[in-house]
Amino acid sequence: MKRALVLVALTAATLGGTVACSDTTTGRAVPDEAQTTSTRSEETTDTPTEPTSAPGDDDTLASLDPCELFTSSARSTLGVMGAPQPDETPSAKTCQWSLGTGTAAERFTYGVGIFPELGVDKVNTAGQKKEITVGSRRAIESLGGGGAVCAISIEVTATSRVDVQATGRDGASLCPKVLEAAKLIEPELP
Amino acid sequence: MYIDEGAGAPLDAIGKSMDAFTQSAAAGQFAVNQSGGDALLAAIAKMTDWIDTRIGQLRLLDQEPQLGSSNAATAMKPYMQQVASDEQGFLTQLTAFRESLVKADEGIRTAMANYRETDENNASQLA
Repeated sequence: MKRALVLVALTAATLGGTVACSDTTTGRAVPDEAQTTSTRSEETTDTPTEPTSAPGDDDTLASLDPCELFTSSARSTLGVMGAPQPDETPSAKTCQWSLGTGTAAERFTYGVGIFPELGVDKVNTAGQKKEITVGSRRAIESLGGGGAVCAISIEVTATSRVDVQATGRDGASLCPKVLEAAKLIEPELP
Repeated sequence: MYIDEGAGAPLDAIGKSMDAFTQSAAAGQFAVNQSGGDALLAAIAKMTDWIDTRIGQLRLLDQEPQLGSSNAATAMKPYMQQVASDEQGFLTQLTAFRESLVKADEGIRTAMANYRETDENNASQLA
């Protein structure tokens, strides 16, 4: 009984559908004037105002290439021999350079990460963190990567920053090297 | 399938064998010539740089905005950090591997010095 009812319902639906689809109207489609006007006015009011780009803005930072922040003179001052290795995370563009010389105990890798939407207050680490100054900018020095990384996060705006870091056998002993690199990079920042 | 082999099992073994390797090199039990040693050191240097680059990238990835401040997020956070840095964590294992490379590097340099010393001794006896 139930099956018969379902069949009847399906047949009715199919027939109805066929009728509806075959129902055509000749002529030309004209947009409803009133509706279009109201939509347009809504669009006008809804359009967000373009943010003005100024130096130090997050947009300027987003367009920076982290591999170019280590200038050739900075690389020679720091003794970096390795080629730049660009990469990215969901919220940062990154670049790393291995020192390329020394024993396994001595060698380490520099890194730069541009975070256009994360301020220095958002530095995430399970290790130590302390506030310092690089140039005239606020910065946070932190240990991370299980103690293998020393990082200095330089403030660009309240909601953006650039991280300079070094990874090696012992992160804490690399902090002076990172500070040296951070001081070389800082003038390049917006 | 993930098999937890306990306290750093696979890399722990590498670490111990590297200890033995460094000790036997220090005791002068074997020697490596210049070109063979240089090739080994170059391979170790490449692997060391790779590990540093990976750990560096992990630290940058670690900066991603966290889970938030909901009760569930607050409960999960400490465990997520632990996955990376506890005894069997990826970071811990990478760091242990790096340390074994430091020992291998030392061992090979000692073995190269042994070779030079033996070579010079032999040369002086011939003179």
